[in-house]
Amino acid sequence: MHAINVNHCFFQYNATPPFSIAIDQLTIQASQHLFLEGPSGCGKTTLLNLFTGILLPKDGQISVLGTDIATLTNQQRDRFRADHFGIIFQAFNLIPYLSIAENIALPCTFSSLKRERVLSSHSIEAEVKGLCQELNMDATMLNRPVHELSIGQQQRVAIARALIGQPDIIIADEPTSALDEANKQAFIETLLNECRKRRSTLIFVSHDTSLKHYFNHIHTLSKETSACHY
Amino acid sequence: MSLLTLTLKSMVSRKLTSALLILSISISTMLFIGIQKITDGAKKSFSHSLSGTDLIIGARSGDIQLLMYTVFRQGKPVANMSWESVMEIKANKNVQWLVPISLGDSHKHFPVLGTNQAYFNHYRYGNKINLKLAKGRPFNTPFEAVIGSQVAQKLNYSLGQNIHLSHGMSKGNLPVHQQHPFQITGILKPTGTPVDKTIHVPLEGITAIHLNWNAQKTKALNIDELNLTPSSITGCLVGLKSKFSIFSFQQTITQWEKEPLMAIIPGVTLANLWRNISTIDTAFFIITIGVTLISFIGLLLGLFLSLQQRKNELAILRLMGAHPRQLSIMLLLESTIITVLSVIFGGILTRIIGWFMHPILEERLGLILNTYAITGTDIYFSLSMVGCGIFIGFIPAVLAYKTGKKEGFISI
Repeated sequence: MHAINVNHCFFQYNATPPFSIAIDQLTIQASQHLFLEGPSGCGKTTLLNLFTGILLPKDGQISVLGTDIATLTNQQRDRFRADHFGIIFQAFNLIPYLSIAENIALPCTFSSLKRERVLSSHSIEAEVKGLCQELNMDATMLNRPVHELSIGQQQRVAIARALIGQPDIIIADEPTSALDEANKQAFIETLLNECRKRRSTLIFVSHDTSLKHYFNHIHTLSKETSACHY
Repeated sequence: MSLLTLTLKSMVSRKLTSALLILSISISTMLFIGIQKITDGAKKSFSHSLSGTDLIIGARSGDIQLLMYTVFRQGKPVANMSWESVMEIKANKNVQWLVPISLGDSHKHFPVLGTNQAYFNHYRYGNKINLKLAKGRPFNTPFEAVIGSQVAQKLNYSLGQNIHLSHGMSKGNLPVHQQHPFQITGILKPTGTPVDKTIHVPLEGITAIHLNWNAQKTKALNIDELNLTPSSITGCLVGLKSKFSIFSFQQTITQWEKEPLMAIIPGVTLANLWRNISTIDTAFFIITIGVTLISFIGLLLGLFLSLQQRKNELAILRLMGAHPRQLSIMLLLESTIITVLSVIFGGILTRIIGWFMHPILEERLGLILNTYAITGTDIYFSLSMVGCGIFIGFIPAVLAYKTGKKEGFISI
């Protein structure tokens, strides 16, 4: 089954200068780990916004898990994204006033599917604890505020938050750009390991080619696929 | 985690702003409830204090002044009226009863009122209720006293105890009438009127202790040998045989030839007093509305600021799957929580301030306030405050909804 299938897709921002991206054909298989690379400004983040239904293509079709996301209403797309995607942001984006455990559990507040998946086996607290254990985080830290964490620890919290509730597709947008070399290796190994264990599809976006060798599938966005008209 | 906990945690993270907002709205709540309680209490205690009296007669001065010192023991009489006039008025065919009142002395800052047996028969308050004794009996001989319930309670007096009166009603060290003590023979039941704070003694007693005022050091008076008829008193309360003669009799008093006298109809003068209070009341009310308005503008400002500060946080929630509607619910919850807490805190504040202000208001203005009871008005007011808060919360809530929906608000 295809996790994501892109067909003759075209998107353009109504901004000055106008920016557009065109992808003829891109298929990401389920459970595939894809390294999406390209120079900055080539539209990597735009593509991720298209995958997750935050943006809709002006032309062509994007289907995610067999659903053409353009056919969904705004609210349905919000729910679809919350239910099926786990997202790791470049800037971690943890909620400062929530504890580590509350940050990890946050997606279960807004996605009933994720919540039900967790609750089908055990409580949300137990799931959070389990995730922390897998990610080598000290369980005693769970109730501490997030601002006490180091950057490496914050990134692990972000992974846990993306993994909770078994989403089908994990998206990581330049997640290593703030990490040092040692943390970077540890982070990517952990992430790949967890996705493999869960058989989740992983779309890893980076311009750091040193991480490329971890992946079997690589897609390169070039300036040709996107166009910046000045 | 529910939206409520999320909102609460977010508010706690912005504790200073939240606390200041709550403080400002609770202060306006306090002002609103407090002012309403004071004016309410003033109106109630004034109209409650005297009933069944047709006219109050005294030396000519202002009508409100006469009422204030004869009934509320506030202010000082300008002049006295002669005992001859009193006797003549009492003998008038229209007059059914007359209660003489003589003020000017005090005991430990409680006013002393000289009167006679008629006071206990004819003084009425509230819904035409007569005074009742809790203990003991009315005075019979010149050196006996009947004290109000608060006097007994605050000074811890009981029957049979002897007290000395002081000359004058002001504060500070007053000269004491040492020659003869007064024995407490009766304690009145609480009335919620100035009677509770009054020491009642016979007119003869008052006259006696003033007779030898300049010769204090002489031996105790032999009261049997003296003429204890007073030469003058402060005023008197009068009941007429027929209500129809009130105006004509008032006219008779105003035209009294022997000395300048005046007669007031308590109800009419109360209404006058009322009008004076109402002006202040309205002014306060307008100020309070202004203060409330400002605090709600503050709330609006605070919510707008929080919306600005929380753009990033709200975008994360949106990415996690929060619907724009859920964002606006969070803002509505925030304004609701703030106003509900404010109203509760404001109520507590009113009580605390009331607790401090109570004795001051009672002593200075003679008001008997009830700041402790929660009235229907308080509940309506609190509900409308919360209503206003929710209504104001709608503005940023709608804004959050629109922002949340806007394309480009969220991005990976």
